[in-house]
Amino acid sequence: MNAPTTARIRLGLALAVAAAGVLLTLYSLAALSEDLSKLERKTTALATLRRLAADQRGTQRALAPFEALATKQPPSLTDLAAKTLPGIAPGIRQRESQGAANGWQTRRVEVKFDAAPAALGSFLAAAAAARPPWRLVECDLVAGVPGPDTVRVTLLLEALEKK
Amino acid sequence: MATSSIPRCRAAYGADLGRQRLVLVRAERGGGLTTLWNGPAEAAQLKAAGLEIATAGAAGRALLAAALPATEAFARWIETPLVAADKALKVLPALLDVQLPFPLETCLYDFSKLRPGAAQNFRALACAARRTDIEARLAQFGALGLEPALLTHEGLALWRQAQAEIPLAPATLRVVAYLGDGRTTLAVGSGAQGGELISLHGIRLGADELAPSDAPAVRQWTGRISQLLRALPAGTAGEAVQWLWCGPGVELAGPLEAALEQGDRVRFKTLSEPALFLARALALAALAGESDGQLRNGDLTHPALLAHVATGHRRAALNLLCAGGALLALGLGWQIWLQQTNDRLQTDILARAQELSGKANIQYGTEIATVQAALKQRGAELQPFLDALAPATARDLAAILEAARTCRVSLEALSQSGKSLILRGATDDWNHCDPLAAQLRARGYTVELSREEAGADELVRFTLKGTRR
Repeated sequence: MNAPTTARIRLGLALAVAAAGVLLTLYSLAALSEDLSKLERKTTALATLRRLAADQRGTQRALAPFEALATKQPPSLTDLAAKTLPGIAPGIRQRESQGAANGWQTRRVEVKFDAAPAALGSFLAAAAAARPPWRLVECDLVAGVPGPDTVRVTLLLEALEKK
Repeated sequence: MATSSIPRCRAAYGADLGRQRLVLVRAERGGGLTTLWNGPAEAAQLKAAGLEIATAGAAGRALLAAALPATEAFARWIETPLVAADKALKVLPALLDVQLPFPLETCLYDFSKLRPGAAQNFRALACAARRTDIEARLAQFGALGLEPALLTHEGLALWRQAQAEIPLAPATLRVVAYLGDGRTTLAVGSGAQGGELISLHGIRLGADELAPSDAPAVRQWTGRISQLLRALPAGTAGEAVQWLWCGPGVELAGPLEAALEQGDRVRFKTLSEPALFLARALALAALAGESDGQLRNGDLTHPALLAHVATGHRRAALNLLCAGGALLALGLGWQIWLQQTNDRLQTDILARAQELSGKANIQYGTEIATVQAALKQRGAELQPFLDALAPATARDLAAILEAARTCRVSLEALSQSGKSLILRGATDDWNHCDPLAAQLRARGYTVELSREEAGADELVRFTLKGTRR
């Protein structure tokens, strides 16, 4: 192979590589906007998942105090009433139950009784202080029934329990 | 042909060869000038200088530049009506051919100082010489053991160096006159035209002919000079004339000045070291990479220049290859990084989505929706735990009942459901229900209190509506 041919081959090779480099650069530049958008979409999605995971961890933490309880059954409302409403026998009716996380379930109970307003306060405070607590969902109170110093109370209480 | 590419060497040699004498000068980068030889042109005495030049040339450290006498070369400004350089270059040889006294095919030529002219045209300085004259000149040098890489029209080197050593004043016509042993060379230019060269001339009368103050020879010489000066462009007629003498026959300058037509406008001056001037001019031009008027071209091109051009091509190809390779590497690197980053992000997204949703198979692009649906269901299961930890409504109610008792407010009805609470009651004082409202506000309720004017029983009836924030 003579010198001019070698030079031509060398130049041709250099031109081919340069052309390939330029073409690839042009292609990369043309697709740059779409590529960056794609990366941004994925980064945003990952950030959203991280936020959801953090929220989930926060919500999950609400379980811990309940799981840590020695007793996973709420105290009997009859017993609570006996302590805080002496001489009164409340009418207790079991209502619906619903499944909750980790094998727990919510149980609702309707409680009806007539008592002095102060006694009602004691009963409600004791129910809220119980572990697991009884949560007041609804309360209806009508005064003057059956007597002027008493109130007729209808309570809907809810507690979490695990069997 | 067109201007040659000259390698940038550390040193360059200039050779001024006359009939019997040779001047050899070495110019070095940094300003050093050394006279290697100034004496008879005899090969036997030039061995040392020839060896030094050959060694430096072979190592690529230096070039030897020589001149073709103006008497054997042709120089003329050529104008084309074209303004585009590439097109003008194509027609220049044909225009030169018309002006040459011998066929262009028998000549080697060079176009330099290519530039657009004032009249929407394109002009170039054409230098040409017959191949036989060039070969003969190379043979003369060869006989002395010298092989010049550059062989330029001597007039160009003289003009360039004179300009460098003595700047030309405006409105001055300059004649650089080289007195050789067998020839006189004139380079004529004008300061009014930005110091541009006007014409180059060679006269076959030198110191050998003029030395004995041969009256007919001097008359012939002055006649030829007068003829040349009269042929200059009309615009130069009123300019002051500056003669600059150089060359080995410069001792004749005095008698020749006397023979020349003189006047107030004419001034004579001798350039420094006049005998070395042409050799110095050639060496310095080669050192600066100046290749105007280089007539050793085409198939007579010196191997060192051919190697330089080949090296230039090789380097250009290598640079192109490197630039292309760099672009290719950059582009490929970017594409690979992009793909890897995309893959890594997608893997992370899928792994987190699987972990959060508890599902193994999640369709591409539905990760967040799947997780949100799963978490919504999970949230419903966990809501009772959050509700149980919220401030206890029962405790609020107990406190309200206690507050009612303290404020002597009699409750008539109370209804609480979810976040809302409605309380109806009566009190014997307009303001007694205010502490009750304050108690609710303190527990995070937005309170709306409405009271009625006291009736016949003198009791103020009120309704409190509270909504937990």
